[in-house]
Amino acid sequence: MSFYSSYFIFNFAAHFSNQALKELWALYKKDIILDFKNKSSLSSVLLYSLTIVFVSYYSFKVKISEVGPIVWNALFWIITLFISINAASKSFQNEMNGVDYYLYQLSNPLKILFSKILYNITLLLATGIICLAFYSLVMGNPVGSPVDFTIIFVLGIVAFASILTMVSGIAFKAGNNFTLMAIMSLPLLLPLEMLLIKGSMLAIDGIGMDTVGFRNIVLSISALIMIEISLSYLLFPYLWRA
Amino acid sequence: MWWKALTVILLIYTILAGLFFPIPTVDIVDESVRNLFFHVPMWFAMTIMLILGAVNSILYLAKNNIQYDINAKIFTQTALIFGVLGLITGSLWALITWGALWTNDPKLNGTAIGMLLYLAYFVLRNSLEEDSKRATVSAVYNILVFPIFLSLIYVLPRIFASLHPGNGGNPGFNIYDQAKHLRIVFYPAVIGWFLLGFWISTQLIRLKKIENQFIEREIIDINE
Repeated sequence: MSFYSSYFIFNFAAHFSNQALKELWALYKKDIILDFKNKSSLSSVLLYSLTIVFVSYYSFKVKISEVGPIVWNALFWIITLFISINAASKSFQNEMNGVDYYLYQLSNPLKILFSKILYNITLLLATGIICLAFYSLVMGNPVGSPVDFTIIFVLGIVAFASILTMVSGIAFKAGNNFTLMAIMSLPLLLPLEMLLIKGSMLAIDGIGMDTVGFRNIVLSISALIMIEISLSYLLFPYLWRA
Repeated sequence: MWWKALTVILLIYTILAGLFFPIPTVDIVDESVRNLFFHVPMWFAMTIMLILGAVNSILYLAKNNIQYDINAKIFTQTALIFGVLGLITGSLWALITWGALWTNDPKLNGTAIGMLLYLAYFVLRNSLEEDSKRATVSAVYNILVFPIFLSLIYVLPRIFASLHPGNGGNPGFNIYDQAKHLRIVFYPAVIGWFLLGFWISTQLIRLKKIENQFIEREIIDINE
């Protein structure tokens, strides 16, 4: 406790020094490079998202004009939720077989945490955009206010990434168990999911930033992101040491 | 132990007064308002138990004493029991006033999801074998879910429309109770049910301690 707490409080600025940012960038780049080197994990995430979109479309076999925007919206966020959990569950895959001990000696846990959050944001944004494009292609797109929908979409992905990074860290310590990851993250993401569905429904109806209801939802999601990131900031060093 | 005697006295008072006390007459709710002394204190007791569990998890991470991990587990366990009791009493109340055992209410759904969150906590505990690792990882999870749980049952019902009093623009119970009758029973009931939960937890913690002693003794026997 004493080591970490003193590090948090007195050395807060050290996380943002030039050297620290370089280290963060190196850790981030390591994950991206490993993903492109070992193409199976990246392509499996992409294929999973395309398949799940197609399965959902084929179950309804209709366009947006027949299912209506409510179903379109709910289905889109359910798909995004499952794709995100599947993609983020792989975030500590490269640290299996003792690589985590090696990283523990090389770097500080907080840098690993932030590099993983950045990596997950990149991965989930990429898969999310591909999924949205394919989903719009097969089902149609009823969004009335694209700017507001984009705001909700990006905020949602960032929130998913920040929560799922921590949960996949916990699942990693429990032996990288995918079932455990799913049962922990599905209920954890549900309040967020409800806010996102409500917010993007407003954006689909063309109601956006000029209304109090929409701004409140954006603020609530931002507050959830802040809470989760600050909790991860405090808790991850203990988790990484376990 | 004075507080154990207090628990018994308060609970006997709650049950007797709660069932036979004169109550204000309100349409639809009628006599079911007596459930206020049983349903609502369950949630108060559960929330306080979960706070105690989260505090013990923080203490474990700070002090690295395995006793805090046991406390956190037991308090969460008791909180879940109170949550189930709260759901049952709430369902009965909902059947009488809203017409169904389960309604599409954000508070109900939020509670159900909260239960799933804490059930996952026990699954996580069971999937880790080594004591100190299990304690650390589950403490981290317990602290992580606590704010989400609070947002599920106290924040979201206030954003989305809820049938519960005091939520989603509905009036609280206070405005119907001009005589402040209900409070004479309600506050002792809250304290009584919480103390009962605390009492159960302390007994379970002692039981766990004895179990651990037995295991240690067995290990010593095997080694000899």
